[in-house]
Amino acid sequence: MLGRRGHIATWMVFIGAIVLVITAITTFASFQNDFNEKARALQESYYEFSNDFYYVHEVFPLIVSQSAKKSSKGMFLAEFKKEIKKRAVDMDGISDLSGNFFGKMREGDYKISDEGSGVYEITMTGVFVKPLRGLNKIYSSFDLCVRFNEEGLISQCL
Amino acid sequence: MSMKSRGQIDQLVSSIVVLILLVILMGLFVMLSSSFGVVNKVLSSGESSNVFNFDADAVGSRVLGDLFLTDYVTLKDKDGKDTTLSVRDAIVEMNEKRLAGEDYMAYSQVLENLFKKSYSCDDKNSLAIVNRYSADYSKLKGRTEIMVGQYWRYVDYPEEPIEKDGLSSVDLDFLENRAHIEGRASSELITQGYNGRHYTTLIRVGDYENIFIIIGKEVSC
Repeated sequence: MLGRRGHIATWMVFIGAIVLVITAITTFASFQNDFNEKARALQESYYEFSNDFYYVHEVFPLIVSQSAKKSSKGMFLAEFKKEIKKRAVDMDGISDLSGNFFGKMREGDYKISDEGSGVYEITMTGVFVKPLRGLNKIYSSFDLCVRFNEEGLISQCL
Repeated sequence: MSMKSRGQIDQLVSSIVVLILLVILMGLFVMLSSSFGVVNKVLSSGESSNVFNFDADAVGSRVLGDLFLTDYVTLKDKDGKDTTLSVRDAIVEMNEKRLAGEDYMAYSQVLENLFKKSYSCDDKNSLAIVNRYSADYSKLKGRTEIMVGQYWRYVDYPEEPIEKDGLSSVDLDFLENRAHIEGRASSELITQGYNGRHYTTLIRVGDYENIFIIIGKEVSC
C-alpha cells in the first residue's frame, strides 16, 4: 500500500505537468500579438518628433539669414520683420511641422536686440514641437537664438 | 525479495516512466509553443522589427526644398509687366504653360538661376524638377524640366542621370519611409535618401500629383 501511494504521487507530477503545459499553450494562443505594431507606433512618433525638432533648428537660422539679405538697408529691422512674417506664412503653408514655431514667427513673438556695430540678436523663447501620432505624444520646449547683421547670419548665440 | 524492496523497485520503474513521459511532454510543449506567432516574434525580434533610421542631416535637405519652394521670383507677364510669384506657384504655372504649348523657358531659366545663386552652395547642391508620367508610384517616369548640379549623377534618385528634355525612367524605393508622411502639408514629402555625398529629398509640389522637385544637399553645405 505504501508503494502504491508512492506511485500516485509520481504520476501526479506528470498530470500536474500536463495541466501546466495546457495552461501555457492556451495563454500563448490567446495572447494579443501586437508588440511590433506598438513598437512601430512609438518609432513613428519618435521619428516625427526628431524630424520636427531638427527642422526647427535647421530652418530658423536660414530664415533669419535670407530675410536679412532681402531687407533693404534703410529700414532694415522693419523690412526684416516683414520678410520673416512673409516667409513664416509661406513655409507654414507647405511644411508639415507641428508646434508653434511658424506661429511665433508670423505673430512677431520674438525679441531682437541691438548688439552694436550693426549686429543683432534674435531670440525666440518657448518654442515647442509636439507631433501627434495616435495616442502617442512627445513634447519638447526650447529657445532659439542667432546673431545676424545686414549681410546675413553671423553665428548662434553664445 | 522483501515487500519493502519490491515497492522500491516499483516506484523506481514508475518514476523512470514518468520521467520519460515528462521529457516527451516538454518536447511537445517546445514544438507547440514555437509554432505560435508571439514566440516566433520574440525569438526572431531582431529580424522582424522595422526601425526607422532617423538621420538629422537629412532634415537639412527637406528644409532646403521648403525654403526654395517658398522663395520668390519675378517674371514678366503677358503684358510685359513684372509679376512676383512664389517658386511653388512658378513651377505650377510653368507646367501649365508647357501643357498649353506655350513658351515656358523664361520660367525655367529664372528658377534655375535662383537655385544656382541662393541654394546651390557653389554648385554642390542639386535640383531637378520632374513631371511624372507613370501612375506607378514605385517608378518616376517623367520629363525633367530643370536640372542643376554637376553631381546629379551621384544622387540616389536617379542612379543614372536624367536626360534633360528627354524621357527618363527612374526606379524609386520611396515607399520605405512613407509611414511617417501624412498629408498635412500641401507640398508632400515623398522620400529621402543618402548616397554618402548628398541627402536627397523628393517633394511633390502643390496639389499637382505629377510635379516633383528633387533636392540633393551635399553634406558639407
